[in-house]
Amino acid sequence: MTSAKQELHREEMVINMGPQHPSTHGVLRAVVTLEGETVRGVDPVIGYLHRCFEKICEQKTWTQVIPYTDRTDYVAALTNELAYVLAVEKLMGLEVPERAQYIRVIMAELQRIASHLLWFGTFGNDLGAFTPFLYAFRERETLIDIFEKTTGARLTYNYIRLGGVRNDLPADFERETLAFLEKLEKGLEEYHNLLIGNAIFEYRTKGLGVLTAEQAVAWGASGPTLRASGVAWDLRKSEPYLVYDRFDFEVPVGQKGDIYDRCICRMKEMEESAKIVRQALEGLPEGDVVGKVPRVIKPPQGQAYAAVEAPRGELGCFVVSDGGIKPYRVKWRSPCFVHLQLLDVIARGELVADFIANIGSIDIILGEVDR
Amino acid sequence: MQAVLWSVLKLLIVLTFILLNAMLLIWLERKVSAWIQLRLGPMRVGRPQGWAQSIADVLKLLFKEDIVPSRVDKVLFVLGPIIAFMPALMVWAVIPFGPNFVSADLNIGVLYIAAIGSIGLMSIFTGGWGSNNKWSLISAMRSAAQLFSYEVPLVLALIGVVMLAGSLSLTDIIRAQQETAWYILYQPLGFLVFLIAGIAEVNRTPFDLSEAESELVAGWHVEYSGLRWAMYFLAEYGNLLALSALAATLFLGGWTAPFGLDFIPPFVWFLLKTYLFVFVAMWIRWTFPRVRIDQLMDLSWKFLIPVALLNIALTGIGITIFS
Amino acid sequence: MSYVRNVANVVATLLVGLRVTLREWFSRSITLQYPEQRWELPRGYRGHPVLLSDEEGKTKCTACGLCVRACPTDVITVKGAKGEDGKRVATEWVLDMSRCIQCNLCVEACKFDALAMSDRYELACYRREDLLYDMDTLLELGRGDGVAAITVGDKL
Ligand code: SF4
Ligand code: SF4
Repeated sequence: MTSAKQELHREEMVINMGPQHPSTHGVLRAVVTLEGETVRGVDPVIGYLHRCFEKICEQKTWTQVIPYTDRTDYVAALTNELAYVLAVEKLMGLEVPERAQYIRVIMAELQRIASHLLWFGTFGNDLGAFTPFLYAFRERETLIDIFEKTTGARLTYNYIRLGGVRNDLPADFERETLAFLEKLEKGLEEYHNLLIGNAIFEYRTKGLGVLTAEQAVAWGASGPTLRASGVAWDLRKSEPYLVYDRFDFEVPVGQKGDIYDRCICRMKEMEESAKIVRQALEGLPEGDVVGKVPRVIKPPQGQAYAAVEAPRGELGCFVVSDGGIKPYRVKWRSPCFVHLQLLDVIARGELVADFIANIGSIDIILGEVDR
Repeated sequence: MQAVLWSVLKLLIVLTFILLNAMLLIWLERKVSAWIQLRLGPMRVGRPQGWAQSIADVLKLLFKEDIVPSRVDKVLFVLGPIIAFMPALMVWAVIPFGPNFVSADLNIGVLYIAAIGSIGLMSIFTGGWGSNNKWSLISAMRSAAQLFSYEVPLVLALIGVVMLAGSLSLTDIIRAQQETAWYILYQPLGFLVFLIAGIAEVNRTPFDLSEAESELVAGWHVEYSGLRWAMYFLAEYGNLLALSALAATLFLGGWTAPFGLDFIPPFVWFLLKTYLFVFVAMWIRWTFPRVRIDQLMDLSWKFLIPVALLNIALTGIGITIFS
Repeated sequence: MSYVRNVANVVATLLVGLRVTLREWFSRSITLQYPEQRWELPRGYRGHPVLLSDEEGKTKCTACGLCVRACPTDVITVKGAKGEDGKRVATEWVLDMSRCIQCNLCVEACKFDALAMSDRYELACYRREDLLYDMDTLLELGRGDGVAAITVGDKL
């Protein structure tokens, strides 16, 4: 008989998750070291969706870059445009009419709702609940229809332009948006009943994937991922751009920094965004939607950085101009890229199933990570 | 001679019944999930409501190339889908469709069912291990763990019923229910445990850990395709049907007609009750997120088994008091 | 005791979830049966650029090349020649739809109202060459419905 003390043969298993895996949100490849079901290490491998975005921008005129920014974070195209346009406007010192600023706020907040709805749906899917996905898409569809009416496209809008926005809001925009917000309210309640408030959901998310406030700051996290750890840092409040300082809204923060808090933060953010949209619609001034823009865009030599609070975190755009008609350099500060590094920090020591939940909870879009 | 012919005929009928029903269930699952999710589900193949979708799918799978990856364990790989079908078919041998319509009225029917119930997860283990794929290996391990934890409460839940009926034969159990009332009324706790453990046993969300599409890609059948995969798929629904029939027999009075609605034939009653359970299982599947493997264990050992034991104790006390 | 409370809580939340799906079970589906049913496209939906024609059915394009320069993906090819009345007109205007990103920048660039966006979206075809739309095709498409030229600063 072998002695009971004799050690079993143990071995760690290295497993390749992605790039074709249903839960890696696009084409992330994660090399995961497993011991049984426990994750012992994560090494994200990126670049499968690399399209040379930053380099292409150097070959395009300042205006032509805008439709390309749509294609980085493709579920929140409007905020990408906003970041780039704000940077260039800063460089050129362009005046943006008040109405355009309001429209930008409205669109950016609606975009945040759309993006969070998509996140909610896919996150439920990651946990094995497929139904919430369809419910979230029902609401998102209404919103996309509104975008379509306003901008002419459903995903890559090319709407926010230097000096303003492309065109004014359609006639029944206000009515439809308010109707949507009402629908959203009902939807959010339903999501809570169906998934977020569900006991299984709580068991799957509470106390897992914990990111402490120090860690979050040290790793450069932003957006809901940072706020869930209890750091109330929101660019809309701390460094207001556009006209955000005129609106009354709250920044939801979590306490523990676990998956559950990240989820709750996003759910609450949707409500806050709805609040902002309502206020902005009420205070929407009359006037032009584009300011005075030179015929040929040639920003003076120099550089500028503008950051916006994108649905996923701080989305920054750094532009350098040599005074020509094309950017000398465009650099993208992508929140997803930063958050992807966190995977190893938050998922180590937890189970495979939690790893999936962790990927979902930091809400990465590979189009933005790889660019 | 005639007796042999009669049993062969009965077996054939049962076989066709299961296969047709499994296909119907696949269609139904698509429809139910679609209705719950505000969709329409299959609509194109066969009008109305795309009823021929499953037939089309099975045909498509039949004509697909039969792929056996080069480094699999061939014996296990081939055996997996075949084993998968066994319990789904074998359960039907003892389930009574009507008063005198049962393939083999074993006097240890319940024991027999408990015994073959575990084969289903064995097939997952065989296929998962034999596939020589890391994902399916994890899946196989999960299914083994699941097998051990859920067999116990499932059998314990059946004990209450057996105690009440005083017999292990399914026909007797139905007759006993005819005399008193459906056992779901006497055994609500037992039914609850049976429902949860049963859903875990047939691997459906929230307990579909060995398939776990979003975690393990497709679990044990990652490497399967074509006909072999179709067999796993059909077996999954065959198992669900078997489980539902069992629930109908043990807790809902089987083929007996409630409220004296005798003019509806027993066979129809049996089907109705079976499908009621099927709907409940589907409803649950499309509502909940998946539990995690350790929570699955917790649920079994810390909740289901104590409750099942409590149920047995209560049943015993009840029988002593009332008899 | 907390065990019992926990179990009760779990059961309660699960039942709430079941109620949601049960209600949706009997609500109307939102699926659109696509080829038979179609959705209404809003005015200004950006399908792809088409050419507009004047009253006589001739192109308004003067082959000025502004759109060519505005296009981020370089998919427009324009050639022009002097017409009978001495004005320049386009003789060739080709759009390579396989690379157009439907951004509307060409429409915004055109100073002669010669371009607009059509709301065509079913663009699939069997050969890549079929995606090269020539001038006649684009003029024809430009005469159809659902064509709108929305440029910067417009009201909808
Ligand atoms: S829509 Fe954009 S990509 Fe297409 S031809 Fe016009 S400018 Fe070029
Ligand atoms: S379409 Fe308009 S911009 Fe393009 S070449 Fe013709 S006139 Fe010039």
